[in-house]
Amino acid sequence: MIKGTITEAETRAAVQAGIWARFDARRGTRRLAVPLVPALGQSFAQNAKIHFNPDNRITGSRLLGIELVSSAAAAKVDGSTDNAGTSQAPNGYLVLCDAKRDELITIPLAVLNRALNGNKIQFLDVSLQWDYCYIRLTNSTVSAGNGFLFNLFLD
Amino acid sequence: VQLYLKPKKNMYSLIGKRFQLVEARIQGTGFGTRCVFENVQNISQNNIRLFGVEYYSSTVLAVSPNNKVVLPAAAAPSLSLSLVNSSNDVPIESIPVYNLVRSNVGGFITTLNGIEITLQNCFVQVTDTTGLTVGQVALFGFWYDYK
Repeated sequence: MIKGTITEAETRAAVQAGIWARFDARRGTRRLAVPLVPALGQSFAQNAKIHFNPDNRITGSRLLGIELVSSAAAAKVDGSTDNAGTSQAPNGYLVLCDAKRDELITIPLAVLNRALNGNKIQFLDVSLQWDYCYIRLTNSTVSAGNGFLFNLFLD
Repeated sequence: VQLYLKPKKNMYSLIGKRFQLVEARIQGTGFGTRCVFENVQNISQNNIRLFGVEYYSSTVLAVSPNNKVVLPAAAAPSLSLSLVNSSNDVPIESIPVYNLVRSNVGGFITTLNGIEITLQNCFVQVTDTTGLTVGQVALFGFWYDYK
């Protein structure tokens, strides 16, 4: 049987099981903006895995939500590096890995831009090894002086 | 089997625990052509439950992880998706792919109630030729967890 809607009790059960949350729910107790920029004078090569720097504020925490910050929301990712988030997002995807290097999430960057998704951030519930996580650009390079900025919702 | 295609009043979002991109190469553009999914090791062992599904055009990701060109947005109304389990039952039959595009439905992921599927048995079916090119791929995202 296919149903278009479900009952309140079924909805509550799904929320208690951690499968759904209200779309406007507060996610986590901490927020962290994390830039990903090429080394000075270098670019992100096409098809290379571009890893995040180790960060103990993220590794060991629960990641409950993530957002790719658009260039409209933040022109720079670290004060000097231009935000390529909007223009380059359709050219790559993000891979989130745990401490065993299991690739838990492999998701296109553009999906993480809330402006394209009814102003909703991506809800997650994962524990990561942050320096194992990376992005891969399948269709382009990101030139020197450009980078990405992610908003993380942590607990 | 009860399938929850959307939460009541669209007020709830799925919390993702595991996610996998999967792709089906377009084999032909004739009406009814079935295109099967490329094998993906993570979810090919009959050991997953599916909680959500999305469709992505080249607007979201231009080239797939397997370096195949992704179909343009114009192709979405030309395809339907059927999800099949190991017994060849079809709990989701011919859902329009256009409805699986998150930006078309207020940013919500199309949710399922943890149905069991077998990736090798699932398929995409051609319903029109618009936007389709043989050799390009229909790209989907599966939100899942292990049984």
